[in-house]
Amino acid sequence: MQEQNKIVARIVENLISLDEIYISVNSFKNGAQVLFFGTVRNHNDGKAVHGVSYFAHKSLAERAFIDICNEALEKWGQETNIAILHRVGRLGVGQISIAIAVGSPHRREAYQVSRYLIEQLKIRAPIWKKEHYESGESEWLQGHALCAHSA
Amino acid sequence: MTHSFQVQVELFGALRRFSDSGQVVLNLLGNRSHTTTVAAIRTEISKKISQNELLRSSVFADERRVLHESDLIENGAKLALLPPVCGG
Repeated sequence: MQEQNKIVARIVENLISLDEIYISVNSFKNGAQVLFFGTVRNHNDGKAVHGVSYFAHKSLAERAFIDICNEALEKWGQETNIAILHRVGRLGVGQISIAIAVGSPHRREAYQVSRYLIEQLKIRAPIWKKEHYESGESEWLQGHALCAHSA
Repeated sequence: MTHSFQVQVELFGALRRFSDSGQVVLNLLGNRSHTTTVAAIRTEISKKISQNELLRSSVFADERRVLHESDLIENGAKLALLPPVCGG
């Protein structure tokens, strides 16, 4: 029996559960599961970073996630399961800002899908971040301009 | 004949600095069918957002999609103005 692929794509306010995101793509038909976590690092552009605040246009961001997931499935196979969770709110250094899980019958496709998802969502999902520095200053980070077919 | 109407624009990212409430309400002149264009809204909002480069690189959107400059907008519409993005 053909099992339908699963897509989970959400903007979330709470801590990302590693168990939850792993289970959401797990399947007995998979031989590979790739997990990617983006985390807040303690430095950027020569400045000591204390934390980052993330903001999103929730409905458009989740729609962009789904569009990107569907493109990946089109490219690398319909048997893949995907979960994307992106935090909003203020995060401290070391916290997970984004988690991407890909479950696939084979590792090659799982790695390709994971890489495609993170690269595309960074330039297409309406999400913004403001860095907070040890100096007490804060700054909006530069980004990629959207266009009419990108979100 | 022209008709006046309002459009509400929610600001995101670095654009938030231009409004404490995070949104601006624009009063525009529409045509007989009570519509205007995204381009006209951009012109109007440029009077309130002094950072031209940021505004030029920002796009308007509704709840479903990013809009083209020629798209028609109805009286009472609620839009979002999205500056360049940097998620992840």
